[in-house]
Order: sequence, then C-alpha cells, then structure tokens
Amino acid sequence: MSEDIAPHVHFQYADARHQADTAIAGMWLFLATEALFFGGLILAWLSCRHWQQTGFDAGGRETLIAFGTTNLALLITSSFTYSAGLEWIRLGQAKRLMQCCWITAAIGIMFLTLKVVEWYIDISDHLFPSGAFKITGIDEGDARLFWSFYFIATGLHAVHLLTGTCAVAWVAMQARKGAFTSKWYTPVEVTGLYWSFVDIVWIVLYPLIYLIGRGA
Amino acid sequence: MSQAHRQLLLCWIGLLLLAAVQFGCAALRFDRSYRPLLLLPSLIMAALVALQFMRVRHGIAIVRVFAVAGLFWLTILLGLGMMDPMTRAIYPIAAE
Repeated sequence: MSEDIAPHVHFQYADARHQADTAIAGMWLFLATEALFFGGLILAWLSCRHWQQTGFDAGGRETLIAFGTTNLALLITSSFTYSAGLEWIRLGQAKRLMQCCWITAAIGIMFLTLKVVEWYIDISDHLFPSGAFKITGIDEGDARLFWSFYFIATGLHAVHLLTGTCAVAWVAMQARKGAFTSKWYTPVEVTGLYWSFVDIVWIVLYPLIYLIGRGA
Repeated sequence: MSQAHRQLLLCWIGLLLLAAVQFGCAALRFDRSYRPLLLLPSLIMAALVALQFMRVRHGIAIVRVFAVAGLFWLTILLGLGMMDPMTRAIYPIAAE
C-alpha cells in the first residue's frame, strides 16, 4: 500500500488493518502484565485480611465511602463517554470524538481532584500509617496495614489514571487537528483499552477498600 | 444514535445498577469471613467493561488469547497465593 493511500501504515504491515490489529494486540499484552501487577497487590490485601480480619475491617470502616462511590460512578461514566467517542469516529464524526474525549478527560481530572481531597481528609484525620494514628488498641497494627494498602493501591491507580487522562487529552487534540478518520483511528482504540482497564482496576479496588470492612 | 451507541448506553446503565446492588449489599450485616463475596458484582462489572467497552469479543484471535492468558495467570497468582491461608487449620494452643 503506497504512502499516498495510507500515510499511517508502516512498511512492515500488509495494510492499515494489519497495523491496527498489531497495535491492539500489543496493548492487550501490556494490559495482561498490568493485571498481574495489580494482582499482586490484591493478593497481598486478601492474604493480610485473611489473617487480620478485625483490625483490617476496623481500618476499612474509616474510609470515606461517599468519595469512593462517587469516583466509581465517574469512572464507569468515563468509560462510556470514551467508548461512545470511539463509535463516533467509526462513523467518521471526528468532532463528536473530540467532545467525548474532553468529557472523558474532565471526568479523569474530577476523579483525581476528589482523590486528592480524600487523601487530605484521611491524612488530617490521622489515618496515614506512620506517626500518630487514629485507631488505637489491639487493632492499631492491622489497621495501619490496611491504610498502607490503601495509600499504595490508590496512589498507583491515580498514577495510571493521570497517564490515561493525558493520553485521552492527546487523542482529543489530535482529533481536533483532523488526525483521525473512519478509516484510521488506531490510537483512539489503543487509548480506549488502557482507559477501560484503569476503570476495571477501580471497580475491583472499590469493594476491597470501601465495602468489605463495613457492616462486618 | 446508532445501534452501537444504544448498546453502550445499556451497558453503562447496567454497570451503574450493579454498582448500586453492590453498595446495597454492603449495608447488609453478614459474617466477616464471607464479606469478600462483595467482590462478585465487581467481577461481573469487569467482564461487562471488557466485553462491551474493550470489545474483546470483536478482537482478533490473538487479542482473545492475551486476554484469557492474563486472566489465567491472574487466577494462578490469586489461587496459589490464597491456597495456604484458605486451607490451613489453626489449632488452639493448650493452656499450661
């Protein structure tokens, strides 16, 4: 295929679809490694809670469930808006794609803002695992362990979300320049896979952090 | 609105409903040991996101292989990792 017909297709690919399929498969392979990365974190949580249920749950009861639940709804909505944008570019509507991407990026920023406010409240409430700690007595050590998990898990997720927000904003800017058409939108697809994966991570972290310790 | 957009909208509503069910179930009081079952709605939600938003069904064969491989190794990691905690019997120490 000549450069005039398909300027985005590199020489080693048979055609644009072959290149797109390769990029998408590469992203899925990367996401498989990411699943194992977060899997280790989830295993640590399950194992620690199994042996220290009372203290872990005492720590979990101090989390701010309104923030966590709002963020869950926000991320689910963002996956929907981004996927809607992807469908629009399939129909050749680059302007609609750009609008969907900006909404998605705005939701990502809202999530991160809420998360920073939540961290500020948590730390002000003496829930940081080192130094003076809110929970005292027999559960203190295990509750500190829970809050270590909380800050590591939410911190790692926030870094992923920040990366995703930058990628989505880049897609929006490229869409504005007219870089994507109904025939070529591979970066939009690849970015969408990453964004939805970050959504899935929060969907799994949400009950671990906010729900399981409550009501026990 | 295209057929694909309608499907995405339905999926979004379904995800929010599942989140609401999960939130409601968390308010119920049941044994501490069974509370990790609250992860079940999350697993359904994750599957919905993968199938609908990530279009794993429409991907080429190698995409499905990578997705299933990720899931398989995650199961190995969590399954083997939790085997000892789930099966170890704890016996009380006799008072001296």
